[in-house]
Amino acid sequence: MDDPSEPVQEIIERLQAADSPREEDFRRLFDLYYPRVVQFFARRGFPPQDCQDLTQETFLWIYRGIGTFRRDARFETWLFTIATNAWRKRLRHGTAGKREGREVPLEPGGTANEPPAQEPAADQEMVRRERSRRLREAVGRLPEQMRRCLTLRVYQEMKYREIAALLRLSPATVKVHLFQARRRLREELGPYFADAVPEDEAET
Amino acid sequence: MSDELRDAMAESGLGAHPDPERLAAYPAGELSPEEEGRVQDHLALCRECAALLLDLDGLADPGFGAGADLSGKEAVWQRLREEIGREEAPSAPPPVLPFRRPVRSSPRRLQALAASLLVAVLGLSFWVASLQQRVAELSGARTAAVLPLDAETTRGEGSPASSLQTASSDADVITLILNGAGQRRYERYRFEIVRAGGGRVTSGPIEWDPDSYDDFKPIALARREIGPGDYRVRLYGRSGGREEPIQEYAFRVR
Repeated sequence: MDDPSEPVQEIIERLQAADSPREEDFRRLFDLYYPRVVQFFARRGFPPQDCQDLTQETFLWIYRGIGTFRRDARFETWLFTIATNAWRKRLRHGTAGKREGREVPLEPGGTANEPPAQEPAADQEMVRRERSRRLREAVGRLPEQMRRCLTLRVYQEMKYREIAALLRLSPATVKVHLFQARRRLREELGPYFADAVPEDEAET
Repeated sequence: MSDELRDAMAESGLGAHPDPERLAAYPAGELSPEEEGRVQDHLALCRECAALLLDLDGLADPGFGAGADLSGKEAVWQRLREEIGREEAPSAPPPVLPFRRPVRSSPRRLQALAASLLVAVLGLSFWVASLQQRVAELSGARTAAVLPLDAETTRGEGSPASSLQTASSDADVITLILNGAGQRRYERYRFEIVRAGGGRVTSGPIEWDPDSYDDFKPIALARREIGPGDYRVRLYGRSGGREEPIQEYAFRVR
């Protein structure tokens, strides 16, 4: 029976020591990381069959490259780069497929399968653009980390702890940055933009 | 926060995605402050890269895969084994030429044909003999040396001797593993092995699929091809009819 607590370094050491990787050692590595790699692809929105294909591809590249893996590096980091490359490659091919299959109107001005969009009035659009530009510029003038915290919170709707993990800050620092960012924006933009920069919702 | 502010942020420039190696180097604190700032700016606006990075720690956590669908695990393992088996199996023999109906020939044409056949048979015999010798050298290898060559550590001049990859000339086969990370922007690639003092030893093409992330390419050399001394492997890229040197690796045979 395999030892599930066996450190991955020992498995890799054995895989690298052999002339060609031994199947039982590679199987141990596979058993250890299969659930995590499948989950990695499932979280990217792929259906189960695609997750399996991408996981197979990832392990195949691990098998091919295991001899060149530097043991002073973290295995999961190497695994991450391989899985991310597999994912991006799949996305590139998927995007190309979609582009080939796009329907185009046969007549000038016509649309293939979309209802005609309602155009906003020209003056409304101009006001929207101007407000958007001023907001963007005001955000751009915030100190770097404050701006990144605000963007991750507003644009990506991230939790404090996620923002903290991504920017390598403490959650408390993130909270302070967000508080100050909102205050600065309200001060700079004035009451005309009050509804654009409301108080932050309570952290979940 | 308001949709208006979110929409305003969406109109900011996203920039190119950092490559996975750079993305993975960021949480480890291995990037320069400038690069780190660029990655952070990108992460702030790129949902894909931010989500990827949050999952990097997940890969190190056994609990990350707790909810994963494992129903296809054995099937994936079987397919993986088959794929590896196919790759490691010897390559298939060249296809047999299609059979052709014989044509009626004149005596002169038959003589010319016989002469060409004789030349072809002689040439083929030499080729088969040399092939057999090479196969015997490679398959009967008692010892093999593998040199992983990384341009950053084995560029040659200035490298401490201890960092130079060295193989014993006792090895029957010396396999050079070229690390071409980040080099796949050309249409075609070629390598050339030269002695440090000058003089080409061998050269050949390298198949590097631009879509592939296979950064490592092996070059196997029989002992008779390479004696003791210092060598360089030069990697060239060709695009639009123009070839240029893109990388150089150094190694030594004792």
